[in-house]
Amino acid sequence: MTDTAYAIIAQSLRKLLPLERASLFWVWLGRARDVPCLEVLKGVDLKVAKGEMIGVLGHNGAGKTTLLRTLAGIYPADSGSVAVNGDVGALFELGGFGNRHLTGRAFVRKYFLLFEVQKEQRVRLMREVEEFAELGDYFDQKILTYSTGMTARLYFAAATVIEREIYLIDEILSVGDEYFQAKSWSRLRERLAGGAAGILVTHDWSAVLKLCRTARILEDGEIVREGTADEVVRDYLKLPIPEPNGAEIIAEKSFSAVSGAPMHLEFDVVLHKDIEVEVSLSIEHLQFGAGWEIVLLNEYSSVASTRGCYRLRVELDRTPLSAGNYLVNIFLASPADPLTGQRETLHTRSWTYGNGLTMQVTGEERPDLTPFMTRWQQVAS
Amino acid sequence: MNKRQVYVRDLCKDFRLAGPFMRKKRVLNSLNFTISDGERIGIIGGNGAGKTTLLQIVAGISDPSSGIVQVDGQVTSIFSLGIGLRDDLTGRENIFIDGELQGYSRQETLRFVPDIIAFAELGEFIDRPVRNYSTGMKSRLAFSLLVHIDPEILVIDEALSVGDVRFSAKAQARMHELAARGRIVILVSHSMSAIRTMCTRCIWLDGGRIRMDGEPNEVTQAYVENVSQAREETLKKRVRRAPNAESMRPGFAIKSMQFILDAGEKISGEVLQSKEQVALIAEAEAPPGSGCRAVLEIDRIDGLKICISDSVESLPLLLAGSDGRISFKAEFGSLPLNIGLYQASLTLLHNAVPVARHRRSFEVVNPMPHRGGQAILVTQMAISSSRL
Repeated sequence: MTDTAYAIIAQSLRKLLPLERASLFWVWLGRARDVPCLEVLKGVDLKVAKGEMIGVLGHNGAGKTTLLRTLAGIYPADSGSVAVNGDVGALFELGGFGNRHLTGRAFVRKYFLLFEVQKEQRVRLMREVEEFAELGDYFDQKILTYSTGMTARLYFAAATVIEREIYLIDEILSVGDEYFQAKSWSRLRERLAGGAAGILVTHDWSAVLKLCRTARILEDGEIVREGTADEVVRDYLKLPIPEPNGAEIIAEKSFSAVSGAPMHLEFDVVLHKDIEVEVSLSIEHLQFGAGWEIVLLNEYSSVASTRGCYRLRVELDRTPLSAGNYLVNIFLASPADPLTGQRETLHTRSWTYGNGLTMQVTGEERPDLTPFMTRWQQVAS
Repeated sequence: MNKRQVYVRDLCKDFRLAGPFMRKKRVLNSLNFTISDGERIGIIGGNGAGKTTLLQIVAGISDPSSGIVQVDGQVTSIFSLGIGLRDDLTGRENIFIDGELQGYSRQETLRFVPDIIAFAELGEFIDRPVRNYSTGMKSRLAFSLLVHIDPEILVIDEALSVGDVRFSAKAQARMHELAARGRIVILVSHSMSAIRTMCTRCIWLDGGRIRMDGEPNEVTQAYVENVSQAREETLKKRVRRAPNAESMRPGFAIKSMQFILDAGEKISGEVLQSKEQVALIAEAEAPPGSGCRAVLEIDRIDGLKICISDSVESLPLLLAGSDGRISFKAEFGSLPLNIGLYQASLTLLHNAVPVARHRRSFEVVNPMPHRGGQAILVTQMAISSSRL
């Protein structure tokens, strides 16, 4: 790929943050760089193709915020290069320039000025922000009278109303109530579907699964892992693979089904001792950029209670899934304790442990995820 | 030793609002309560209920507009974590300063230092200026400074979502210990379980007034019920927004569209239940004798396309009668959708060109939610087992 195919190219990016403030004397001598520094980014290489959203996962202090700030040009890099092709919408430290004595409307006006929004568009965009943020009369009140959630709504609405080519996002999607979160997700997806690229920096792995196709792990200023979002998340979580505990699932790695046709999956369960075993099953869809969704989830049901080998048949009259690849998770557990509702896990096959199963659904390619049955009828008026 | 006590009578607090007139907003409205020695009080309430303002007044950061607030005892307050840290000093130096502020001798502080450092888990960063810390590291240090205090009256504004998951669990545990040691603890929290486990009494503030004051389990339960009711109502209000209809070609229109139960009853308020026998009925207008197709799209409110259904799957064409009307119905059988907000969008097509559209939002509730996860569909697979 040529370099113009990339939205962001960072090459051996290093960033030092001074540990002491350089005294004026040294600044005057032009030796301010000699103060002891902490190397926060230790040569980060990162390429983001146009139209791609990548996730960067990392724990506290890994250098996530510094990386975003350096990419956004807030910090100059100490060595290495950053090339950004396209205009950038920075969705982090939102409202950083905001005077909390401004009203919501005045804040947005200032934001538009700052980002050189055309005069003709301002009225329309202002109305869009007002509608999206749903602040009601508070839109004309000072920001300092807002609650945290309201402030976040205002900043998010202002920052995403203008379409950008590149978004730099620092875990802001955890703001607001459920309803506003859903709205924020759909707005971001809209922007991404419109061809935007970007980086999402977070320690919330589910956000990465929802928004990104590929991801990286940033550890101590270095990128230590790169791959598809699910692989990287698995590595990030580092969950130990569960050992069978009295019962074991034996299954082929892959199942298949035909969209709209009867579904029929089979696998075996071995009980190594006399133990009561129940099974639950989920079918999940992981489409990067579109989201991670649990499509079907069964309640636990009984398998057997005496030692031996059992064949389990999972059936559904009609596969309510579009063509595509799905993840199948199987859980074996003891019956729920009648008092606490707790179950003891006996064996699990799940993608989060890296031992999951897949299901390939064939059939017509459709834009909807779970085409369920509808019967149409014309009725006499 | 003196008895510690917090005595509040007719406490009011007003804030000035923006604007040319001296408009005021009453944030606390004649509060009356007494907290005696040994009590641990949880304060709950929605956003803007006045929780933080009340804490600030008790901690002496803010003054009441009128009323009496009498605090007997030394108050230690924890508001936003990290406020007291000096940026240019190292983590270690900050620990010493904090010790001095808390009134400990150098010797005493020296004893705490290893504990604090161990708790903060900052590694080599402890000897680096706080300026170089990430946000998460700052709050870790700030929180760790509190681990050794022995408070008389402890005032905490929930700031417990500190750092990553592992540290926040550790912080949570330490908080419990701290609360147990405090003679009087006043805790503001959104976590009902924290209030239930840590407090002996709970005050529910609502719009600046005390709505309820009593045993934590009872108060939190009443509060949660109230909140979920209010939430449901705002959701319903949003969902009930006027349905929108548009016609792209003159002569064609979708006049109405509505969910009904199979029994024929209309559904009120666009709230459906999972597994209910539901159908969508619609009435459209088209030139007499013309044949149309209808496409129904169901989207979740965050934009996920759930289901698209086309009338040609079950009917060749929908034919307009001599009066130019078409009435039709899409039956879902047992509604497979799980809890959520959705939008149904019905499009009428004539010769494969969209000619009219109608949208309507609806909510699905599930009286029997699945434990341990929420799938899009409530459909259950049949699992049978046989011995080999």
